[in-house]
Amino acid sequence: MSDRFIKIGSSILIIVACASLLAPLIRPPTALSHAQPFSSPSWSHPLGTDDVGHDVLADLLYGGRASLIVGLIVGIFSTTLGLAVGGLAGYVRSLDVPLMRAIDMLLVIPRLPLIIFLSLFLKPSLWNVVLILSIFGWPLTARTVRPLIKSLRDRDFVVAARSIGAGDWYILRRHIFPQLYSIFAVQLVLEARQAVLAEAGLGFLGLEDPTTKSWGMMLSYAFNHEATFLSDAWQWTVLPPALVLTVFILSLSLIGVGLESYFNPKLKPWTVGPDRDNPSSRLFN
Amino acid sequence: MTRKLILLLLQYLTLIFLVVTINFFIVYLAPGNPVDVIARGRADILPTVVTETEKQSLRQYYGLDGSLGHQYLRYLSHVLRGDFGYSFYYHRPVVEIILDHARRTMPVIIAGLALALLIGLPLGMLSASRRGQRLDTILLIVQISLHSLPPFFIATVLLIVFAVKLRWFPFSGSAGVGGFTSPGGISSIATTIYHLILPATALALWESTAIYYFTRNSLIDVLGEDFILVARAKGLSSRAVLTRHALRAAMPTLITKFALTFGFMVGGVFFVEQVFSYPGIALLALTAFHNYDYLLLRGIFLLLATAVLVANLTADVFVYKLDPRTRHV
Repeated sequence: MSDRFIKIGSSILIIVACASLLAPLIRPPTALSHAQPFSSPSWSHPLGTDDVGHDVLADLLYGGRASLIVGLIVGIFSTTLGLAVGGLAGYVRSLDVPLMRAIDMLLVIPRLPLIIFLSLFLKPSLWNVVLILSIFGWPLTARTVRPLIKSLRDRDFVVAARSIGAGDWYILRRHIFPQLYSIFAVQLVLEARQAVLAEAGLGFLGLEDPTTKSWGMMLSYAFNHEATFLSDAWQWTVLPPALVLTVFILSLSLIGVGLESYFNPKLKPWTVGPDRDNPSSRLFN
Repeated sequence: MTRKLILLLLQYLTLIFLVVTINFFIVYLAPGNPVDVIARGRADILPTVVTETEKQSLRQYYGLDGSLGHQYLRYLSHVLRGDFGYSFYYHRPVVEIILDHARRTMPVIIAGLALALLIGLPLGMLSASRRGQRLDTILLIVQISLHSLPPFFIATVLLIVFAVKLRWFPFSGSAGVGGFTSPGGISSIATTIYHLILPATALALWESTAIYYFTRNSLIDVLGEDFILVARAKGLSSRAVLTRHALRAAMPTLITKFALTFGFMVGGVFFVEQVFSYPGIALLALTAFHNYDYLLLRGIFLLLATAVLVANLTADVFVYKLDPRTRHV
């Protein structure tokens, strides 16, 4: 089952990535002359045009780039930060309690409203979105990583290495880091998923740079135009970005859940419940 | 014993203090310095150049004169007295505007939370009792897919199906504000509910997936305990075991999780109000953003953050009362 999840998820991901990278080939900018606003799908505009006469298909292809960039950068950044903080809490005994208490406190503040509010105050730009999402993404990863590092620290092979005089850095590099690839992969995908969701949400609320092309912004423009729902225009201005976004996020969910249970069979979310020390699938947090 | 309660309270007071502090400095994150920012907002309404003397009086009026530390202390004392300042866009005190809009948002959140519990809790219990079976697997996959929808997706679908296509419900507004008048002159409560159904349902459907998942997992966790085995051995029906023993034991964990759900809902409300143009607190925040009405934004942020923290604190105190195990730490 987890195999199938990963296969389906990554196929979708690859298709989306290729489509948005090859956007200039599929819809060359030269072919995109301004057209009648809200014109319905036709040969020259396969998905119709939006309220200012932009080709919806082209926007859809180029808009994928925002989601991919945000997902990738935020994923890497907040996973690394989470691994670092969680690792520190798990490895250094004296830091464990204060760091975890701080993280638990931070987790009480819901992420989404906080991110929305910071975006309300900051200058709208894609890089600020990336920055905000990276800053608030890591606590959950840190919390997931800590128990793992903690148990690794007390394993026999680590104790043995330490007893023959290995330093902390050597132990981390040779014995602990190599065991973290799997968790890094899982967290990366799930953090990326959260970031894509949040980015789409911010775009939808119109809190991104107005010149950025993203699926969220496309929806934002569609929703802010009265004519969208009074005519049939919603069929090509609202449905395509909403569906593409959903499928893209679903693909990340599938990969995340698939990887999660591939690396940790105890955690198969569809067959068994969570362990006491193993937090359940992170998907719902 | 009370030491733990005091610690809990201190923890939340620290958080509230943190929120107020972020709230103070957040205006400095906004592009330009606060006076320019405020002046920019004003310039939108009064298309005049703001002179230096005007800026000086603005600075004084909004408490932006003096050193940063001085301003900060003054801000704290104002907040403590419940004075959030004055919105230059609406020409009314911020507190008044916020209460006016929160009045419309609260019912959406409460109805949404109730409905989400009504959907998520029974489904979670069903899934936990059939763990690993076909029904559980199907429910899980459905919920994972639902949870992967962007927060505004369900609202959009409801809007298109029930408001645009079927025209059963209004597609924007709320009772008494712009939008639509009540069909056939029904009383205002009926109109309120009429405008509330779609937003609350959208919020509930989106959030019920998390409640389902928390319920299922906490129950499965508890179902593995010895006292459940004893209850089964006594010959209790599996239904009695689930509701009277397992659910009861899982309650403390669940209450904490549900309080967190309230926090997610505060985020969800932004999307729901945007989709349905429902004139509540979230739409007010978005309007304030477009008007550069930073004092109003600050007030909204403080109110929502405090509401979330109070919800979590209440849950924690409740759990403390409910579960003797948490008292001896």
